[in-house]
Amino acid sequence: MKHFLSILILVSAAAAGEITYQRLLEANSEPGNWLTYSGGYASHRHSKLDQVNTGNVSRLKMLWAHQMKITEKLETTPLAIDGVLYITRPPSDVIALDAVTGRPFWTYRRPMPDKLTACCGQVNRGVAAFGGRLYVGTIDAHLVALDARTGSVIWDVEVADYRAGYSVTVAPLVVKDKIVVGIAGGEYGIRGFLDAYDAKSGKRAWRFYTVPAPGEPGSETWKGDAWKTGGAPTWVTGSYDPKHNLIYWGTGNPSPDWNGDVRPGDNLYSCSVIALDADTGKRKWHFQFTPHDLHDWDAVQIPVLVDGMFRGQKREMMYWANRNGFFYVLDRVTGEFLRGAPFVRLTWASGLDDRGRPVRNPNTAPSREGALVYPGVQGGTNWYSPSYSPLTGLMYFSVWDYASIYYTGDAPYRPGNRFLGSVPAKIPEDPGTGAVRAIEPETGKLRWEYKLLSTPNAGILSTAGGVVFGGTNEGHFFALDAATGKELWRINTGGQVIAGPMTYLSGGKQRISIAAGSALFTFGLDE
Amino acid sequence: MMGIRVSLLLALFASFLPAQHDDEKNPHQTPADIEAGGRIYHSHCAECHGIRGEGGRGPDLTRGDFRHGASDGALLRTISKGIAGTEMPGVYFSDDQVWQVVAFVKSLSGRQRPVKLPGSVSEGEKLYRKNGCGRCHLVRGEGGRLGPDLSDVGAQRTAAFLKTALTRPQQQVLPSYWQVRVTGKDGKAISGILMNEDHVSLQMIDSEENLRSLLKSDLASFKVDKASMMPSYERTLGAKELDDVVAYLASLRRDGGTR
Repeated sequence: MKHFLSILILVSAAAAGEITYQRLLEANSEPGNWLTYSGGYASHRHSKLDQVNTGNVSRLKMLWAHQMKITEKLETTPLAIDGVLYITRPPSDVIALDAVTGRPFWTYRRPMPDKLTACCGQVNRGVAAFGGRLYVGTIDAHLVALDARTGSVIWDVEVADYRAGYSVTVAPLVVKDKIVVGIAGGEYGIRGFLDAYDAKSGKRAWRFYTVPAPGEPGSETWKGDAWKTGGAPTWVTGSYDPKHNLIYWGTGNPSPDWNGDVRPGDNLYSCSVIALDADTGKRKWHFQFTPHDLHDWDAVQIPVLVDGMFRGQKREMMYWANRNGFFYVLDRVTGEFLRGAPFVRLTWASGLDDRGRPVRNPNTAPSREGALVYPGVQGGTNWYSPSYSPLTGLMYFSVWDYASIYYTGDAPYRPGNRFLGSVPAKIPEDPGTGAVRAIEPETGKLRWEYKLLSTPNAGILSTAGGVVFGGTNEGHFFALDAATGKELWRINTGGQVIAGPMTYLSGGKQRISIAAGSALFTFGLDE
Repeated sequence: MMGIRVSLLLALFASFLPAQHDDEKNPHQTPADIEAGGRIYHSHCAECHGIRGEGGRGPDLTRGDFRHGASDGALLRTISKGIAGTEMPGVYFSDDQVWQVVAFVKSLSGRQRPVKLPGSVSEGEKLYRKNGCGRCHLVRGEGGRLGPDLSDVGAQRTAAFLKTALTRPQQQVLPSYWQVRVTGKDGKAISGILMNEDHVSLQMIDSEENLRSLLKSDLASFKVDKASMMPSYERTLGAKELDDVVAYLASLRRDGGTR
């Protein structure tokens, strides 16, 4: 019964090369693959590929689509590794797709319990790859290691108890031999944390609680037992600086979202960026964008790491377009605030002080009667990835220009139930507008804007071809000139874009993939 | 601010009311219900779980050990919707009928005492290694990828099924383990396991465990062999050795998971 194996003929196979830490460090130098959620540790979501460029992007056409039978939102960013795309689909399934045809090699389907608690859909943003394995977080708050060639489960560990409102939606980040994974559940009164697991065994290596216990640094910013249900989740992938061995990760809102009376104080480390030692998980510094947040303005944006000039000095910086409407430049070695300025209309603060702390305006806190505040509850931007192009020196991101009416109310805590203190209201006659904006980081100046009808949920990709890709709620996927914002190409995918684009080579040809509606679409030049 | 018309997002809350199946009690448990459930069971479930629930390709249902939930509500969900990632499909019947199946399945529990397998787990593991089973099979990430992952096989298959798989592997070969051999127009041959196919392309894992995508227009020949690569151990292993390997395989259970 040996059959075909007995006539085995060795052929040169596509290198099923395993992902090493070295490859992750140098992800930018192999643009034919897309190795991490944000394309590399500095999280620029920028590619050196330039086959598709401003001169020919108008000839882009759809090559294939992979449709999925799902009713939940598709937020995945694929990884591309040696001819295979690895995507996730709701609730927490993983599919290995052939990059040439879009046909699946295998699918990991995860059985789920009935009573899942996820505030905003059973979503997942992608996998991490390392050493021939894939790592996926699940909506029932597990971390699972899969064999990259078969989808077989290698280990499956519980990150937290889903019945208490914990879930994992974030794409994990591999740092050295560890899998770093965040947690979601800021609408359920969880106590947030960031975890690292040994890639081989699944054993937890460290945990950093984003809400300190009494006696720990930062605990002075909480009163009573509020820390136990303090929120500060970590549901979007962070970045890593190998030179300083620091992991940077954004944290979400304090719980309950819209009733700050039950949690007096600044509520560290909610709505912050935390810088943690990658080996120990110990905090080196933090910067809180929104102390004592009252509007659900999670700081779960992607930390964009850039070395460059700032006011005539060479600095190691972090750029951050925050949900609270300010664009920040921080020193990523020390956490020092360098500058900040609004990138959308905002009415809740008159500005930032010398240390970057917002100067709040009166009557902008949620109230029983309702307070109309810019930006609205989804913020000036949110979790969808920004892009930084080292060629133009610009930051590109999707923005929302709109307001919400913020109410407050009682917030009784019951484990596994929503812990909100009211819900903000839309203003039907003024739903707001959206745009893709290009910002000069050093000055905060708007270079250009591409206006959209409604508030977008799409991430941005920039490339060495001088092109910026983005998407709309109405289903458009578009290409803009990175220098001017001029539209060069667009297609209607027929489904809302709630994911970030990425690019890679297939058979030596540049491809661009984007999740939209219930499908993954792949584009290339009409050759 | 108060004059502005607002739309409170009540729909938000409605979408968070989870299904309450786990707390539900079976409302159909009369002897007539059990009998009716048994009829459905015999026509839809027995092929894998056995006429008397003794298991086979599917797990033994007589032990009352339901890893995807043993409550009435959990069984209703499992039988109605199936189990993602396994061979268990859903049955598209009304809840009333599925409750009757639940009643029947529960009536099977405790009918048979757990039987201690005759073989030795540790001896079976040695034989597994000695015979190179790991060249084709994964156990918790260790081993080959051309055959089925055995990490959880003790929960998925009965001992009798495993013994048959060892002695008569060609008796039941799942399509996901059919062999494929292709020859390119350049004369190069590749063999392996077919993972997916349409009229223009195929996706496979080759004998070197590389994932491959091939366009049929580039091929001179493309053949599928519905036989298994698995050799028979009927003559290679003695009766006791077979029992040992079966005991080892039956001991393989995946830790963790949701339930």
